[in-house]
Amino acid sequence: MTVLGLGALAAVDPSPLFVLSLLPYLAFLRWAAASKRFPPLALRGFQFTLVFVAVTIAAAVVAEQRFGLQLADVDPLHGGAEVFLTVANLMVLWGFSRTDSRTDNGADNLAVRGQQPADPEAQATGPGSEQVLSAGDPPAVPPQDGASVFDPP
Amino acid sequence: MHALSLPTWWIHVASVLEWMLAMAAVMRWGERRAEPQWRWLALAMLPALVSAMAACTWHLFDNPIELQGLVVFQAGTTLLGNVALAAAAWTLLPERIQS
Repeated sequence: MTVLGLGALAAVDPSPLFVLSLLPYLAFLRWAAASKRFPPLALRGFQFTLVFVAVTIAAAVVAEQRFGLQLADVDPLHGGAEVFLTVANLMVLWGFSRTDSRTDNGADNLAVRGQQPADPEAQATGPGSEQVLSAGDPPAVPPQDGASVFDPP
Repeated sequence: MHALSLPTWWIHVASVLEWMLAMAAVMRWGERRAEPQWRWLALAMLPALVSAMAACTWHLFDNPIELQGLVVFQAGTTLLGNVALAAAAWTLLPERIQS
């Protein structure tokens, strides 16, 4: 094929590239976890992508050995493997879409109550500093020992 | 385009749509937090989208050996995308976020 200049590419074996791509992905997962900034569900989604990879490899082996075909030509195996990616991506999407995540000290919990997102100053004082409760709401933070962040040091 | 059944096509389309929406969600996530580093993560998700498009194009033509170059292109963009993801996550490490 001369279209798109893919002819020269076709001579390359893609398998080592796919295998090699696992290394930076593992580094990505490691640093994403170490950052402690990712929404937990999204991080689990990115990790679940490895399950998709494992299932795809297993399905490709079955397609080759039982049917003598590449995975993409054995539709049930192909679709059955790809659905793991659909689930993984859904977790990533959901994780980054949710506004009530508990990843950053309750700033989002305030936001989800319909208030302005906490500015960094308010966030630093913790979730209890800006409670606005409706009648009958239990306090979001139990009474502490009387010490306050507003106390002079 | 009949190498893939309709359900298998939908699984592919859903994955691609979710990934695109996830890129947008990452942008919003960063904007809400006023943390510009997240834009790099959203951008780093782009090569994987290109990779997916290549794979879907190959499927669209019933996975022909003549278009094997697309599979190699998909593998290359996957590798590039994963390097980009790792780099983006690196910028989000807590000891680097102060600067």
